[in-house]
Amino acid sequence: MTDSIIKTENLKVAYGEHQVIHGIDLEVIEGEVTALIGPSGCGKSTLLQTLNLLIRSMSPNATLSGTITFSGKNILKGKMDALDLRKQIGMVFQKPNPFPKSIFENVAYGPRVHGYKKKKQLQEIVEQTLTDAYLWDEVKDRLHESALELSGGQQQRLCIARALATKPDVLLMDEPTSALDPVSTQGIEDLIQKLKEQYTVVMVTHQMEQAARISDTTAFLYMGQLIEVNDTTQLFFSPKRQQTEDYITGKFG
Amino acid sequence: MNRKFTDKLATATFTFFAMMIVVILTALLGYVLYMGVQQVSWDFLTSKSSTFRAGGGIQDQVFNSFYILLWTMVFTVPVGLAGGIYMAEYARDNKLTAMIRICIETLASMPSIVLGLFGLLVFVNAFDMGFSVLAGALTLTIFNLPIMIRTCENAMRSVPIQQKEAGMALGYTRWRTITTILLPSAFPSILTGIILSAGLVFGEAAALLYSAGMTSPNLDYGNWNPFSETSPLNIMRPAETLSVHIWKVNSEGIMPDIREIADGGAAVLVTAILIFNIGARMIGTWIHRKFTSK
Repeated sequence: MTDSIIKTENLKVAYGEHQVIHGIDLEVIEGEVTALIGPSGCGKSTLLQTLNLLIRSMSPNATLSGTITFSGKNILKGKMDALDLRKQIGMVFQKPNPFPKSIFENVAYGPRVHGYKKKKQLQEIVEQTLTDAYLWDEVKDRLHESALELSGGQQQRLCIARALATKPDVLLMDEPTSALDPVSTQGIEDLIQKLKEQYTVVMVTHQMEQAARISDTTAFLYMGQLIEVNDTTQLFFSPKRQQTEDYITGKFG
Repeated sequence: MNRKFTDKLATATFTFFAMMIVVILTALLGYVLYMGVQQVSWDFLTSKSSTFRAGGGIQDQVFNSFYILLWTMVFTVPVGLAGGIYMAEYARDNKLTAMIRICIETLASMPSIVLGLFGLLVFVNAFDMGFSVLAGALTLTIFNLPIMIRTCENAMRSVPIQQKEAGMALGYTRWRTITTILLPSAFPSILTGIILSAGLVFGEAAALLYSAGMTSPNLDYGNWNPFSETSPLNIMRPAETLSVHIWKVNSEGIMPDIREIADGGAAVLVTAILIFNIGARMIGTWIHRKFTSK
């Protein structure tokens, strides 16, 4: 068996009184792409936001319990330094959300807070990460132009580069292609395949075809429960649970 | 058929009322400027006002207006910004916040003459500042603060939440996310709000009658010692502003050219406020463009 990099045990999440995650045990294997699928409102985005504790910063009324083990430590215990955690677990969102700054500044933003101050260092990081995100060739002549002038697909690759710039181990992606056209989607999917060589990816997706195309492991969530998690091929071709089968064959959701 | 008619009627009604606002504004501005501009001359703008004789100017009043505005902004902007950031980013959704919000709203709807009397009792008398630039600026700060807080809060809230998420997800603390992402994005609207409220402050009279006072010492513009009684920079001296001057000339002036001074003063006042408003728009658009695409 390969090593798990993130492991949740009996993870529960509630917004105020309203519980949205009802005890999930999930293992994310290092170097794999793990897809979280399930109908809207099943808790998959919440689960993703919990893995880097972003939920604590964005929803002050959220309460978390259970354990999340990341590189040997339970990040729910005590006051985990979110700054360090998020350096190691990067995140990409549904809608491309570059800062209204230059392309260079967008990528350099993360490394800056993590101690890279020298111009030369930053330039190297920016070039490296933009290359990793397959954006370098398209933007190398206009690094100091506004990121908002890029196309949607380019913006999303820039956001991926921005997340990669802090050299994380894990990249969380929340429906990264749902706001993009088919061609850009293809570009991002290809990119995720390449990223797998260096990073562990956990992605939420609405499209089952996407999960089937690019993930190694797929987890099916329904109503805040983890119904089934398995090797992607297994899950799609011979689901063990009736609910999974119903969902992937389009009977609900 | 009937529905089409209703639609047309609604469109016509809204257009009518919109046009009415334009007409009223244009007529008012046109009248004030038409009556006033003939009175405004370089001499009018640069000579001192006179109590008895005709031909007095408004130099000191114009200076006082800007000077009090400056101090008001020095007090209002930091406090308003802090308050707005607190309300938008830190305040929890609880009773305390609701109470603060009610206080801000009540303060915003407080009649300015009441604030003026408050200024008289508190700043002028209790704190013994006398009729002064400082007392006037502090009174106007109370007048302006609710608007400033709301402007800043709205500006902060108008930054898409995704921007904040992105900052936090990169490991930035809330404070650094606010200062490096939210504030720069909100800056154009904050600045526009500041300039617009400056126009409001600039034209305010009632709040100043009993706080900055209705007189000015004989100012000597060569005197830069801020502690000297005749120095324009002195913040402990009384300072009659332009709008207070217009009111005073009209209500108790004994010079023969009351009408001319009031007309000219009003024209200058309205022009200044127009410049504030148009300037706010232009600077806002310009900065927005500059910020989003270098």
